[in-house]
Order: sequence, then structure tokens, then C-alpha cells
Amino acid sequence: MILEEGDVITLDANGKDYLVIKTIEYNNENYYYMMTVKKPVEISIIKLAKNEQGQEIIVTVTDQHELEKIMKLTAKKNI
Amino acid sequence: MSEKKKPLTDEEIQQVLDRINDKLKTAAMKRDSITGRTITIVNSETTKRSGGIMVSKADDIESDYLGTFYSYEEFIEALTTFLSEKETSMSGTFHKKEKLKIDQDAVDTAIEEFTSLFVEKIERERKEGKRQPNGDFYTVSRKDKGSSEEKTSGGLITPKGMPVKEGQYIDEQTAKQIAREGIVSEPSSPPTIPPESDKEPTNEQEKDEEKKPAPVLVQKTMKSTFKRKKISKELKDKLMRIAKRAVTVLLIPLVALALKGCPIITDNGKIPIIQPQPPEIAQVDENYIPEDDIIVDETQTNEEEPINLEIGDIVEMHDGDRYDHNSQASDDISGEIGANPYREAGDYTVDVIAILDSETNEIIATTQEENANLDDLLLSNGLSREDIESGKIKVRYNVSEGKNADLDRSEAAGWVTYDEDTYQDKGNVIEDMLNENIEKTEEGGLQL
Repeated sequence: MILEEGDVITLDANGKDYLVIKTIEYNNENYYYMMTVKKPVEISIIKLAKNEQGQEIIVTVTDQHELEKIMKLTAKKNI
Repeated sequence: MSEKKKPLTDEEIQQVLDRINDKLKTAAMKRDSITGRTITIVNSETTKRSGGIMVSKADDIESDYLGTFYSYEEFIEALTTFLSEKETSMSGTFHKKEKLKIDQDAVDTAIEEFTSLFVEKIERERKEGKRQPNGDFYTVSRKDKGSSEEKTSGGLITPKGMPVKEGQYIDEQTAKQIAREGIVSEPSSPPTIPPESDKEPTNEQEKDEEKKPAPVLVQKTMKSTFKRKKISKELKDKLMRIAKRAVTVLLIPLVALALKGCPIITDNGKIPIIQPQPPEIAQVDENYIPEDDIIVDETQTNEEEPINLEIGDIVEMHDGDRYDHNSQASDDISGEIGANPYREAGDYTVDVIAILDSETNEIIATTQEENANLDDLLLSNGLSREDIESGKIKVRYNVSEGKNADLDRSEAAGWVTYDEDTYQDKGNVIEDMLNENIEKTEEGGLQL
């Protein structure tokens, strides 16, 4: 599954709805900025992966090198 | 390899080749198309799962199978089998094996490369949370060039419930000791990844450690399955507009601050207010947990990151917004958005930026160059934002049809007066629309 800007997803972990507000492609992978639909506003940078059962999951990006690259790309494209 | 086998016959060689090819076909059916990406193969009979990787740099290796996918186990097994058979039948039959178009150096190189890639990918995916700590015990086999001795090193990805940190690699000996004695202790060796575990850190590794950047964004680690909402086209369009506005008002300032060196800590998943301090002494009030508001320091945003529209940007125009009808030097407001079918509310594209003298309305400068922005135009004309704020100059944007325009806006939509306050007011549309969505959701009127 590939997410698109404007998509709304519901996380099973917390039941919250998130709006995909920006996609960035880096190193052959798609990264997504997602924002909560309801207050309080939360913005996370995520990407897709698969769990052991083969189900597609979202994973927050925590690697600092990776985050910096994504953010620089975001800034460079000036959205 | 103390026991020598008879040289392989051509038929046996063909069998080896067929075996490799069979494995290739099986793996290729399930392979991911992206080179360097790991996948999981499930044996349909035993349901055993094994990881694999697309081997890159295939063109550099003179072999016809190394550029494609092998599951890790299949790859090692196939190569080990091949190598052992090749080794024991080297004398007198080597020329026949040349038919396989595989040479020892290429195989050694491939093993080294494959092992390196595999370990690197495991480590990276583990950091990214892609790879679950699953208790798998694995080994990496390799042969050094010029040596027939096979070196094997192993480790365990510690599962939940183990008396060591979950997800940590421990060496084979410690793993066995824990399994045997149930020792509750730290692993006997540092949590490094085999086969590098027995090596001293290289200078490059040490440099990498030193290069480790300060956190630009600390995100709460979260992994979750998810479902995509089915939404109507109308709502999707609306959400697209919200997304664009959120990117402009929230994301650009956030990213800019982060890249300036302001640590953006989103522990608990919330963006805290960042105190307006210089980046080098910027601090995050970690105790502040916003509860019920849009969490953006708009003062900071306005002062530090003024909106800097550029050619090609999309702006959203609402019913009632004023515009001048194709007359950049006129102050006459000739229309309102929504009052004319060619001037509907919606997204428009900025295609010209102009700076005018506020008193005389004379054009000082314009630009239509791709990616040119206001700041660049001001700078190139010896002007600044202060000149706008002081009222000395004013800025106008020519906007034309939007990307999502349903109507034929073949004519330019006209000029709109740049007004930061107005722009900021438009920015609040996000909050309004979010609230609207919440209300409508609660009423059950939307599919959200």
C-alpha cells in the first residue's frame, strides 16, 4: 500500500485518525508526514514496513541521520 | 574437506547449476523489485520464515546469478554446496566448471558483499523498527580469500522475556549459556553485529560515532497496523487543501526550526512550544504538555519564518477575497472571489511576483522565473521585509488557474494584494477546517 497526500489512516495502536500531509521520497523509500485529524495536533514522520505477520505497518522514523535527510529534502523542495 | 570426492561429471555439474537456478526461480517469484531491500520468504511446507536481500552491484561481479535475489539461507547453502563440491573436484575438472561462468574470486567477493549488506540491512532495519526482535539465532559463514577454511560467527536477536535487553545481539556462547543456565546478566560481549563482532572498531566507525548529529527531531517510537479511511472525493479534495495548508503553516516552520538547530522534541507525540531564543541556546520546555490547542508558536513563526511565496506555489482563495482584475498598478478592487464563475474559490498558482511603490503604484520589480521567491526579489532590488512593514512598498502576486481547478481559468485570475495578516488569517483555515471536521464527524455527517 502506498499512501498519498490527503489520505486518512486510522492507527490500530491508538485509534486515532491521521492525515497524510506530505510525502517525501528518499533512497527509494517513501516517507510520510502525518498529522492528527483532531486536536491536539501531532505531526510525525513515518514510513511503511511489514510486521512478522506480513501486515503493513507504520513506523516512526527515529534515526537522526534519516530524519535530517528527510527534513532537508522537505526544506529543499520548499514544499 | 578432508575427504576428497570424485570429480564431478558434467551431469553433476549441470545438477548443481540446475539447483541454483531452481532456487533462483523460487526466490525470484517472491522477490522484491527494489535492489538492496530485504524481504521475507515463507516456506510453504514448513512455514519457516527466512530473510533475504537483493544483492546490489551485480554488474561488477562476473556471475550471472549474483545480481538477483537470494534468501540468506538459500544463498549461503547454495554457495557453500557449490564451493565444497568445486573445492573437492578442483583438480582436473576446473576447466569444466568454467562452463558455470562462476569463478572463485567472484564467489568470495559475493559472499563478503552479501554478508556485509545483510548485516548492514539487519542493523538498519532493527534501528528503524522494521525488524522485530524474534529470538532468531543465525550464523554468517564466509571464507577468506586464499583460504579454504570456513569461518562462522553467530548471534542471537534476543526475544521478549530474555534476561537481557530486548532486541540486543548477544554472541553465540553467551546465548547458549543463557539458554543452559538462565543467567541473568549482561551479555559477555558488547552488542555488536557479527561477523564484525570480533574486530576492533575501525577508524571510520569511530568517525561515524563522532559524526552522530544532535537530535533534530525526537519522535516517540511507534509501530502500528493501520487502516485507510474510505472518503468521498469531495472530502478528499478538502483534506488535500487542509494538508497543503498544514504543510505551509505548520510543517515549513517546524522543519526550518529543526534544521536551524532547535531541537524539536515530540515525546508523547506532541510538538511543544519552542521558546524564541537563538538556535544555539534554544531550549525546549519539556515540562510543557499542551492539552487543547494548535501547538504552534505563531509569534515565533511570524517573526522568524515569514511566508515566502514563490513562483509555482499554490494559494487558496476563498469566497469574498478581493482581487484586482488584471491590473497590477491599480488599486481598484474589481471583484471578489466567488462572484464570477471564472474566479471561483479554490487553489490558484502564483505565476508572477511584483513589488510596487506604495505611494505611486509604480512597478519596482517583477519576476516570473521558476522557483523565484519574494525574498530573492526583495534582495535583488535592495529591499527588505522592513520596507513592506513600513509601508514603503507593497507586494502583489498574479495568480492563475489552480492545479485542482475544475473550471477553465484560461485567463489570469487577477492580482491580489499581499497582506501577511490576511495570509495568516487564511492559515487559520486549518484549525477551522479541523474543527469543522470534528464537528461533522461527531454528527456522523462525514465518512471520517
